[in-house]
This record gives sequence, structure tokens and C-alpha cells, in this order.
Amino acid sequence: MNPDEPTKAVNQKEAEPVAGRSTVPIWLIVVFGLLFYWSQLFLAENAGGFNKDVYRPYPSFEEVAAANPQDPEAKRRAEGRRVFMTTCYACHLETGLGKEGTAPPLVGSEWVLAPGGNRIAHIVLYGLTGPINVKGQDWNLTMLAWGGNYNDEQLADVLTYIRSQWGNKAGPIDPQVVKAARAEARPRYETSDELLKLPVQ
Amino acid sequence: MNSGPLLFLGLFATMACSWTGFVLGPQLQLGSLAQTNTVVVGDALSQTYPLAQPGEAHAGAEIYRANGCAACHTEMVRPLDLGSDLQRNWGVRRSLAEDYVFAQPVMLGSQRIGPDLANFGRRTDTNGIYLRLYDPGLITRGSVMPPYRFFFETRKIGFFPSPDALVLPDQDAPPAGFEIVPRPQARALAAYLLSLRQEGYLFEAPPPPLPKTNAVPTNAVATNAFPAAAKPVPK
Repeated sequence: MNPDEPTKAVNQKEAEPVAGRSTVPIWLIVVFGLLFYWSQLFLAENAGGFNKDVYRPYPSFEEVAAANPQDPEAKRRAEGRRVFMTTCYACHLETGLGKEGTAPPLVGSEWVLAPGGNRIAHIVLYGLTGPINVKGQDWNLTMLAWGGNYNDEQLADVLTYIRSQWGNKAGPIDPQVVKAARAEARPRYETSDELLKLPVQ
Repeated sequence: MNSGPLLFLGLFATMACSWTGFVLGPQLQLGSLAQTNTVVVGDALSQTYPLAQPGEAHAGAEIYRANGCAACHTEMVRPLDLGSDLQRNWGVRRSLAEDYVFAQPVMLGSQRIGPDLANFGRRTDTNGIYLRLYDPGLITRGSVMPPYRFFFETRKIGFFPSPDALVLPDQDAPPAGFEIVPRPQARALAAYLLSLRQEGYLFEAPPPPLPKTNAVPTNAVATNAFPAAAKPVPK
């Protein structure tokens, strides 16, 4: 090759590159379609529904909720608190400590914490009057009957509430207990002596 | 052929997609994150979590940031199936977005040249932090962490010795009549590190189910630091 001869590339004026049109190959569309399909499947299985409460290793909100400690009484206690804050708190106070000359305490009261709820169910159903000993202290007051205002469920809820609040740790009260006590249809306010004749359970 | 508008639309769509995914989506998902209550375990009471940092810890976060601690230390406990953090006792549960509500900025870090600090406040005390800053090898033998001695001041013992002077072994001890005391930066940094506690189980990371038997759980043994330098295996 003669070194003096200019190369072809310099001589010929190169054309500007131009973007042309050409069809997208069908296989590329298919591949992207499959990738999109797979990505949606992956998200459906692993994204936890984009819920902010779902973290690894839980795949869905339901499983997170199931892994949390279950408290079946929480709803009943909440309902019981509603009843308590409508009625009972006026005398027994929100703290459950009661007040001299108004109402005896519920905190640590042996009547509240008795293993069965029979006697306390009678108190809220039929009221209470006359002398009664609570935590070694004598009281002589009158509590109204609430059996006409609330149904068995609500009374069981409020009893469950006061037995679990303020450091009280007694089991929940079943509505059946209140129902059985209501079925006795006692004619007048309870007194301490009559309550003590009742079975604890 | 004028492809300008088409190019603009394509670029705009690309940017809009990433903005939606990285900014708008997380904002919609976690933007309303606030304090919550911890899950009740047993007889314990539910607590408000997380709590705002005290002022000195807030200042310490700036020291942490300024000195590049996040270059070697992370503040993120990985979930059980993505690493050994929980087995190392670096936390009782994985880290959640909730843990960083008050962190500004969030210094997650990306490299673990040093141990994870997400729960450092749970496993050390002020003195331990001072000793690690002054001479990292004192507590963790063979540590590659650089000493941060400019956080400390060597000064003449005055009328009374300073109550928070470092108690150092012989090779690091100051000359007679002198004492080494932490400067305000060290105090702030220690307050920040002590405030790093991802405590309490939250709804998103509930407590592990209680073991059915009374067997001791495998992660019951607390290890407060890395094990000391490996002993040579006798041949």
C-alpha cells in the first residue's frame, strides 16, 4: 500500500447516523412479558400486601397478627371499662379505690377477687345494703341494683374488668354466672349475711 | 427526525417511576410513623416506644456523624433468617422502621468492620465507651478501630482528682500527677451510644413463642462483646 495515498475513510464523507424504525422482535416482548408476570407473582407472595406492619419473616398481616400474644379477654375488658366508666366509677372511682363514706374499694377486695363470681354477680344484679366487711374494714352503705340497666354480657364484662384492673388478678367472669344469678330473681337488696350463705362458685 | 419530546417523555417516565418507588411509596407507607406501645409480654406493662433522645445524646449523634462512625458500624439488627445478628445477641428482635422515628438522619451504616451498635446501650456503660474510645484494644483485643484520643484531655490533677478520670492499665496510664478526662464530645458521644436501645417487642416483631418445655433457650447466654482474640489451637 502506498503510504502517500489517503485512506478511503478520509476521502469519503461518512453519512450521519440516522435512527431508523424497525419492529421489536417478538421474542423480546415475550421475555419481558414473562418477566413481568414472574415479578408480579413474586410481589404477591413476598410483599406482604405492602402493609407497613408486615416485616420478614412474616409473609402476610394475618400471620403477624397470629404471632402476637393473643388476649381473648381484651375486648371484654374494653367493654367492661365502658360500663364501668358510665356507672361504677362515680362511687368506686376510676382508680377502684372507693371513697370513705361513698363506696368500699374494689382493689384487692376479697369480694371482687373470690375464685367464683357468684357473690359479686349478686351484688351488681341486686344491689347491696347494710354492714359489710371489706379488707378488714366495716362499711355500712347502700349500692343500687344494676340488673335492670345492663344485660348479663355487660355485667360479666364489667366484673371481668374490675377483676383484672389496678393489680387485681382474678379470672374472667362468664356471662353464664350472671345469668344463673339473675335466674334466682331475688326480691330485695342483698346483705352481707345473705351473700355469705351463697356458694362462692 | 426530532426525537427530543419523545426522549424527554421517556426520561420523565423513568424518573417518575423511581420517584414513586423510592420517595412517594415509602412516604405513603411509613410517613405517618409515630410512637406506639410495646407488646405486653407476661405481667409487664406496655410502654411507649421509641422515646425521644435526651439532649446530650442528640448532640452525640452529631459527633457520631461527624467522626464517620457509621462507616464501620451499622445500627440495624437483621431478621433471624437473614443473618446471625440475633444469635450474636446484638438485639432481642430485628430492627424496624419504628426504631428510627427520632433518628435524624438515620445512620444505618453499610459495612460491619466493627460490631453492630443498634443495641450498644444495652450491653455497655459509660466507662466501657470511654475505654473503647481511648484505646479500643483494651476491651476487644486485636480491634482495628482507631483510637479517638482527641476526645480526651490529659491534665494535671488539681486539688481533688476528677471523679470521671479514666482508670487505665499501666501501658496507657498518664504520667504521675496527671489524669485523663473525657472532653464534652466524649460525654455526648457516650450519651448517644447509651441511648441506642431497640427495646421491647412491637406488633411488627412480636416476641417469640414461649418454649413448650422448661429447657433453657439456646440464645440465653449473654455475650457482651466480641470474644477476645482467638487462642491458638494446641497441636
